[in-house]
Formats: sequence, C-alpha cells, structure tokens
Amino acid sequence: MISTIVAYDDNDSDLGDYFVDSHENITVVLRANAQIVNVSIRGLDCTEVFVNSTITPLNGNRFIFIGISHGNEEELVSHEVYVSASNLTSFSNSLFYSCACLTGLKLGKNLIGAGCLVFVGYNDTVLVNVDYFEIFYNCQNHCIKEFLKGNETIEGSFSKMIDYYNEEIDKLLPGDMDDLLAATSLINNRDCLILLGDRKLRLNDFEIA
Amino acid sequence: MKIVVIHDDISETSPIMVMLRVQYGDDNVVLHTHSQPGLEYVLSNLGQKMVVLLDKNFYDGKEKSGIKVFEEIRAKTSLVSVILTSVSNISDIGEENLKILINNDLFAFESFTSDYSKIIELIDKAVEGMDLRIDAVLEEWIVKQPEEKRERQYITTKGDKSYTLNEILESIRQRTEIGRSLEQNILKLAVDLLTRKNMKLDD
Amino acid sequence: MQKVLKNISKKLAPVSKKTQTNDQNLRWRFDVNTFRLLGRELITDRVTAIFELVKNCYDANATRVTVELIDVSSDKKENRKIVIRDNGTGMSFADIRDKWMVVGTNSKRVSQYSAPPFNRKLLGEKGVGRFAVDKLGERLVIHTKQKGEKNWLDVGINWDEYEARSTASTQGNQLSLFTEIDNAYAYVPGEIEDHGTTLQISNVNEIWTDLDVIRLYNELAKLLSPFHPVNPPFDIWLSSNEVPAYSNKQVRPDPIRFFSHFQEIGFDLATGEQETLQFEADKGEFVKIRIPIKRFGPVKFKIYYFNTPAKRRFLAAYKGGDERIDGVKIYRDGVITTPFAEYNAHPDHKKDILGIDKRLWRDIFTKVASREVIGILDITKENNPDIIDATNRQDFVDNLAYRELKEFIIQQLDAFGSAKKFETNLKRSIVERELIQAGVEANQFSAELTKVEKLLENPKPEVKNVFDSLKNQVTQLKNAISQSVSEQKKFQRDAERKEKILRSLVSLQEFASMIAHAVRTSIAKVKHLGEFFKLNFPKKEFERFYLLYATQIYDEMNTLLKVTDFMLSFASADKHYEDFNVRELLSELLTQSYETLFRNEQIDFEIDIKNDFILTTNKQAFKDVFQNLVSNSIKALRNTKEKKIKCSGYLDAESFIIYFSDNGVGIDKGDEEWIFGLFNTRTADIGGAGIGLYIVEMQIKSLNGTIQVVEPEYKPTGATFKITLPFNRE
Repeated sequence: MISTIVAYDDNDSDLGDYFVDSHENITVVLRANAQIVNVSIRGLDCTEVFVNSTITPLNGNRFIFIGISHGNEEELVSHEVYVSASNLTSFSNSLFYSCACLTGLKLGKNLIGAGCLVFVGYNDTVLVNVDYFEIFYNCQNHCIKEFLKGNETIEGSFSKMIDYYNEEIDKLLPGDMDDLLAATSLINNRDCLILLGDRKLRLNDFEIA
Repeated sequence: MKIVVIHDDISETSPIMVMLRVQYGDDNVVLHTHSQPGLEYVLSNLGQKMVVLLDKNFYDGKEKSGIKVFEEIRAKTSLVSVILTSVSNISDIGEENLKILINNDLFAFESFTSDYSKIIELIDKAVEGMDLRIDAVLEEWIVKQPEEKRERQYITTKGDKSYTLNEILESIRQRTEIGRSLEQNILKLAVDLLTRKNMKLDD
Repeated sequence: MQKVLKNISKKLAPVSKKTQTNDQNLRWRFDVNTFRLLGRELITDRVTAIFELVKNCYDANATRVTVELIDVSSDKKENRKIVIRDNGTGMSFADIRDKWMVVGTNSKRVSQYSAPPFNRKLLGEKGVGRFAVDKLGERLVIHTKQKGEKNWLDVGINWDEYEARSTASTQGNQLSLFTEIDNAYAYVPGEIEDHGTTLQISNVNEIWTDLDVIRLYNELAKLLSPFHPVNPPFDIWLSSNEVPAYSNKQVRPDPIRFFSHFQEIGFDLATGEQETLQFEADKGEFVKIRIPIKRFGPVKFKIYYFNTPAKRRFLAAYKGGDERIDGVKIYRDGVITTPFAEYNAHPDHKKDILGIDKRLWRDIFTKVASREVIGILDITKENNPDIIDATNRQDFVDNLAYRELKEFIIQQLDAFGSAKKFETNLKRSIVERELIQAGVEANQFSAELTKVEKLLENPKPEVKNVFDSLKNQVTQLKNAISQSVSEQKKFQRDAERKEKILRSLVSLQEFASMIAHAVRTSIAKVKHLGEFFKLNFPKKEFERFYLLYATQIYDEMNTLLKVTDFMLSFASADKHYEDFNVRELLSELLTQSYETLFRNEQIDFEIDIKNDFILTTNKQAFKDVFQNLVSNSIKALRNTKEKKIKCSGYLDAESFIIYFSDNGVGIDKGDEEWIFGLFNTRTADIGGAGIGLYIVEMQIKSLNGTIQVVEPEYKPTGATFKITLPFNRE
C-alpha cells in the first residue's frame, strides 16, 4: 500500500479551474494503480488543521504529498495557510511535490531540514498562460506521474520532466505570438524547477507493508 | 516606423524633411512646429515604433521646452527613441537638464548646425536600434491585438498575481517586473533554442 | 408763516402790471424757465449751492451760521427741508426788493469788503444766492432782520407755483410770466437788537443720503484754514436730524495726518524777517533762513509732504472720501481765498493756479508735485494787501507781488524736492558721507588746534612754526577731503548714469546671446540648404527644390544682414543716450514726420497720449520701434477701405502704457507669439522679411519693457499692440 495525499485549491479565483484539471490529471494515474490509497483534500479543507489531521492516521509512515495551489517562499496557501513552518514536521518521511511559486526557496529546505525525504518544487514565480492550461499542467505534473509509474528514481523522473518541457516548447515554436509567449513561460517554469533531498528514492520505497 | 520631427525652425520643404521622406516614405515622416501638438501626437501613437527628432527651444521659450517634452514622453514610455537638437552648444544645457536627458535615456544630441546628413544618420541608427528591441517588438504586437483579448487575463502566476495584455504592455513601457520577465524569457527562449541546436541562425 | 397782510404788487413785482396792457411801452419780461436755466449754469450742484449761501453769510458779517438738514433722505419731497441760519447783518425791505429780487449776473460790486468793523474780503459771488436756493428746493421763505428794525421780514418765493402758472397760462393763450406774479411778504415782530437771515428752503429737490451729508461737511471744512483763527470768528455748524454723528457738529477742518515730512515757516514783524526753507543736502536737514519780508508781505506757510508710503497710508485711510492730497491753498484771514474756494465736483480737474505742476515734466522723480503735498499758506488782508483775488474768481491779479509769491511757494517746495532726492541718495554715498565726516573731524581738529594755540601766551618761534605747519596740514587735509568728496560725487554721478543706462538696457551679453540664437538658427538653415545642393545637384528628381532653395538662401542672407546691422546699432547705442519725453516724441513723430506718409496712404491717424513720461535711451532706436510698427500696419491695411491707425498712451502706477492699433487684416489666432520670431512673416509676398517685429521686441526688451498682442481695438479685425515701459526704479 502506498499512501498519497493530494491537496488542490478548487476555489481559487484565478486558477481554480486549472487546479481542478491539474488534480484530475494526477488522480487518473493514482486510481490506475491498485496499490495507491489516495486522499484528496479540496480547497475548503486546505487548512493546517485538516491537513495535519489527514496525515496523523498515517502513523508516521512514508507517504507522498502533492500540493496543487498557490504558494510563496515559505508557505502553501489556499484561503489560508495550510503548509508552513508550523507543520513542517508533519511532512517528515514524505515526498513533497509542490506546483506553487517560490516554495523551493525556503519551504523546500525547511521541509528537508525537518525530515522530509524529497522535495520537488519551484524557486521562482511560476507562470501559466491562460489559454494553455493543459500543456502547463501536463508539464507540471510530468515528474510525479513518471515516478508513480514506478520505473524511475525521482531524479530520473525529474529529468524526464525537463525533457517533456522541452518537447512542449518545441511544439509551440512554429506557432503564433501567443504560442511563443506560452513557450517563454514554459521556459521560465522549467528553469526554476528544483529537486532537494534523496534523489535516489523510488516508488517502492514508499510501500508500507 | 514613424519619424516624428518636432521643431519650430523646420518647414515641410526643408532639406532634412525632403530627404527623410525620400528615405522613409512620405507617410512615415511627420512634422510638428509647435511643442505641445508634437508631444500630443507622440503620446497618442504609442503603439507605433517612433523615432523623434526634437528641438530644444520653441519660440524663444514661449512654448513648452524640448526637454519638458522629452520628460513627458518618458513618463509614458521607454520605447520611443528621442534625438535632441539645438543651435546652442551642449555646454549651454544646465546640469539639471543634462541629468534629465542622460538618466532618461536620450538616444543622441546633435547640433542643428551640423550637416543634415549627419542628423539623418543618427535617425537611421535609432531606427535600427528600435528593430533590435524586444520590448518594442512586444509592444507592437500587443497593440495589434483586439481590445477584448487585451483586457482578459493572459498570464497568471502561482504566486497570486495575474496580468492582462494591457497590463503587460504598461509594464513593458514603464520597465516594471512582468514586462521585464517577459523580455528576459523571450531572450532565454532564443538562447535556449540556439544551444539546444534546434534552430540554426538563419531559421 | 405766510401771512399775507399786504400785497404791494407795485413794489415787489419786478415788472409793473401796467405794462401788460399798456401798448405804448414795451419792456423786457422774463419767463421762469429761462431764469432757472441761467441758474443752472452758475450753480451746477447742490453742494456748490450751499457753499455759495454760506459764503454769503460770511460776507454778511455773520459770526455763526447753521446749516440744518431736516428729513432730507425722505422719499417725499414735501418732507425735505434745508434751513440756513446766520447772525449776519440781515436784509432790509429795500435790499430784498432791489437786490435779491433783481435778476442780474453782474458781479460788479460797490465794495470788495464787507461792512465795518469786520471788513471781510467778500467771498461770495454777487447775485448768485437766489440761484443757489432754486437749485436746492422749490420753495423759499426768507426770514431776515437788520439791527434796529422792529420786525422780521418774511418773504415767500415759490418756484413751483410760477412754473405751474406759466404752463397753465400758455394753454389758455395768455402769457403769464413770473415777472408779473406778486409775491407775498409779511412782517413778524422781533427784538430791536436781533439781526440775521434765515433761508428756509422746502420741497428740497434731491434726496440727501448720509454720504451726501458727510460730503457737505467735508467741503464746508475746506472754507476755513486749519491754523489761522478767523477773527472775528466765523463758526459753521452742521445739523442733520438723520445722521447722528452730525446732529450738531461744528465744521472744523480735519487735522492733517499721515504725512511723512512737515515744515513750517513764519515771520517776525519786529525784525521784518520772513523765514524761508532750504534743504541742506550735506547735512540732510531742512534749515530756515531768515530773509527780509518780501514784496508780497509776510506769510505763514505749513507744508505737509507725503512720500510714497505716506501717500498709500493716506489714501487707505480716506478711501472713497473727499480727502485729497491736493497741493497748496491760500487762506486769507483764516478763510479760503476765492480762486481756491470753488467747490469742484471733479477734484482731478482742479486748476493748477500756482503753476506747481507745470514745471514737473523735466524732473518727474525729484520735483515735488501737487499730489504729494498739502500746503496751507496763510495771508491777511492787512499784511498782504497786494495779493488780490481776480474778479473772475479763478486766479489772483497778476502783479509783481503775486508772481513773487508764486516763486516763493515753489522755492519752498523745491526744498522738499531736494529732501526727496537726498533721501533716495542716502543709501548710496557711504563713501561720500565718510569723507564728509572726515572733513568735519578735520575741522574739529583745526578748532582744537586754534584753542591750544590761543592758550599759549607767547609761543616760541619753533612752537609757532609747529602750529603753523600743523594748521597748514589740516588745511591741506581739508582740501584733499573736499576734492575727494567732489571726485566721489563725480564718480557717483557717473556710476549712476551708467547704472541708469545699464538698468534701462539689458546687458550687451544678454542681448548678444538673444540674437546669437536667432543668427545661428538662420546659419544652420542656410547651411542645410547648401548641403542639399552639394549632395544632390544636378539630380533630376530634386529639380523642383533647387530654385526654391537658392531663393531661400538669398532671403536668409538678407535678413542676416539686417540683423547684424541692428546689432551694430545696438552696440553703439550708449553714445547717443539722451532724456526725452515719450509723449512729445510720439506726437512729433506721428503727426509731423509721418504726416505725408499717412496722407498718401489715406490713413486716418489718431494720437491720444495722456501723460508725460521721460525715457533715457537712444532716441533714434526708439523712433525705429514706431517706424516698424507703422510700416507693419501699413502692410496690414493694404486692402482696408477706411484705414485707421491709432496710438494712445497713459501713465499707470508702475509704468507707461502705449497702445498701437490699426484696423487692417489683423493677426491670426495662434500667431500672437509667432509674429515676433526673427524670420516669421505672413507678408513675404510684399517684402516682409519677418525681422521688423523681432527688432521691435528686442528694443522694447532692452528697456526692460514688454510688447504683446492684445484684443484688437477695432474689432473684429485689426491688430493692437500693447507696449509696457516700467519706471526706472530709483
């Protein structure tokens, strides 16, 4: 059995839809794997209390956490802060996968410091071009989706994500200005991706007997 | 590209106007002999790439000065190249005014007593320079987009901000964050493509 | 009041009734309207009317006159009354019949003086009293009595009745003239010793507001000298039942306030000396010099001078009132003399009897004008018999004594002029003052030396030599100091002159840089035109430009020549500096020099310059300004039918303003600044090179003045230039 928690802020005014689609894009993969037991946390429930209470029953076992929301250097936020310095320790023994801006700068390091095993996130502003949601979340989710296939280390999955970004960029190149601008945003995002912690971990390292 | 001449001692038949028209086309060279209307013309055509040839002094100081016109253009955009001309020497321009000119990125200063060919050369240089500017390219493209598109959200960040194309345009002109990021990203794209050898230089 | 007891028509009616029916005799008769019309010319307004009546009281030897205003602000005519009551000699029946009721405008009198013991110089005009009353109201009751008579005589005169009868009669085709109407009179018992006259005027014509009452008070105050007691007294009282402040107020002239300088001179009969004023510029003080009493007799003179801040304070305090700083007035025996006794409804139209302001134009900044002083000159009949009021009452008899008196007055004012000049110079000559101080100290030293020398009884020759040498040194020192002082003065004068020129002239450097910009622009244009040829000739595609450019080069060069000529003339300007009167120059220029030109061009020319104004500059250059303006106007007028040019000017508080207008094509909106540009012209087709107005503006600027285009005087076309020339600030 592998435990996963996916928090997604479906209520956000700007990117609510994006986060929903993003979430669906991942949970399809989660559902396809019989080993995986997933808990999804909707926007309204994205609070520190609720998140902590979802983690507690895991009894300190390893798990995978995916945060699909806005964030900043030190926090993940929905309508309130749900991951921050206050609950760093909740995420010890986890793989923390964040799609939010800037979390790589401090939150990532802090999590690792508090016992988190692996952190994947961005250390700068993440841009999303409004008419290109699908491309963007596909790129954004590629690493974890690869990892969940079970064949790659997190490092390998990460590298595959980079390649995927490049492919999508190349596909946009012959297009019009809008496509080009989307490509530039992808480049922006690609170049601020960051991987911290134990790079050699695989999916089966998260199996609980 | 438009060449805008704002000068109280040049007329439509002056040699410099004649030669500019030969070079850039009749429709692309505009003359204003009074400072305020000239300024208004520039400010109402900001989506257009423009190089401005601006006189320093209008009607013995009775009209708005060229330096003031320059300041007011710069308040709205960095994307218009301005060349200042005068029969006075550059040393006659006081310290305060020189600071304004330099710090606001005056393209060039040339004495009106120089050959007009020299002045036209400077204009040509400015025109070329404009073509090399990504921000000018971006501006030009944005301005061409339909108004509804320009007012919709275009890019969102996952840090809680979003921008319409109009906002991006303003940011480019004022050289603020999102505009600059966009420019950088475009550069990065170009460099990236070159290094990943996906594009040869003449593609 | 009116008890018709007797109706002695024969004696009272000016013309006998018999004449109406007697076809053997023809006599002149009078219609009332004609009579009243006569009056209107003699007495123009109600204050003058009361003035005249009060003067009559003075002439009647009254010691007290009361002017009573009763309900004069009422809307109803019948409520308004004015009563003038005096304690003078009064009139007899014969006086009334033969003087009051005889229409005569002859001012020949039997005597120029009132009855003894007063012997007052007669103030009032003869024969004017009745008209004064008519001006004031429609009904009159004269209540008069002489000393020694038993009864008061009351006579009623009703102008409105005369008019009514006259109008009614013409309708019935029968002439009825007031000269044939009988007037009622009656006797009222009184005390033998009483005397006086009361004029009771009712149905007062005009409403008197509070302000009118106050104005009357102020005017009456001017009758009396503030300083010289009238003896025997002549007290004037004003009584209004409506204005509380004037319910019973003695008319007294206000003390003179807010003046900045005051001097008074008098005389000493015992020594036969008259004081006269001088201002010693070295000390900065007024001194009174004693001279023998002059031909016009001893006089007392008080002069109150108002410098600019003082004037301002005065005007602020008396804003809207009748107080004015109005020059020198002569009072005789405490009462104003007739040339100054006319009530003037328009104070600005006062006559300059003493000729004070005539001398002004030359030295407008140093001589003292009437509007800067209040002067009270007191004479007496006894001491100054040769100062005689002229019979036309506008002036004094022009004899030697009067001429000397005028000169004397002006001398005193000149002392103030010197004081004025001194004060403005005060800031400057510190060096001079220190030199003078040194001179004073040298004098003191010399005096001490002499003292010590005197103490020594028999000085030894060596000692004496030392003293002599010291004294010589002091003398030399004093000489050196005087010389330095006069050198300093000369230097000062030169510096002032230069300063004056500099201040009235923009520095040559500024001027050069102003012109240089225009010249460089012109050169740049010519250069570009030449460059075009150099690079493009003879390419066929530019053929249309070659001739155009060649012409432009030619024109620009011509203009440049004119500009350089102008610069040269400007540079040599200060050698030809002079003072001149703008008004005179313009009048001469525009009426004489241009007369032929205007005639040939059929231009109707008008000039209206109100005041004098002195400029110090190059006269020719100034003339050129107008030459340019005229030439410009002529061009503008070429298609106008009735051509007009007008030049007007006046002095305002800070500057001299000139308007120059024509009714030609005018100046396009938006071009008002442009036309002053060096090469800007709209008349290139008729040879306008644009330079004219540029030079005009430069010239005016060099005098620290301005020229601008303003609303055209001959709307809707035409052009008007306004030129402002500020005063030289001293």
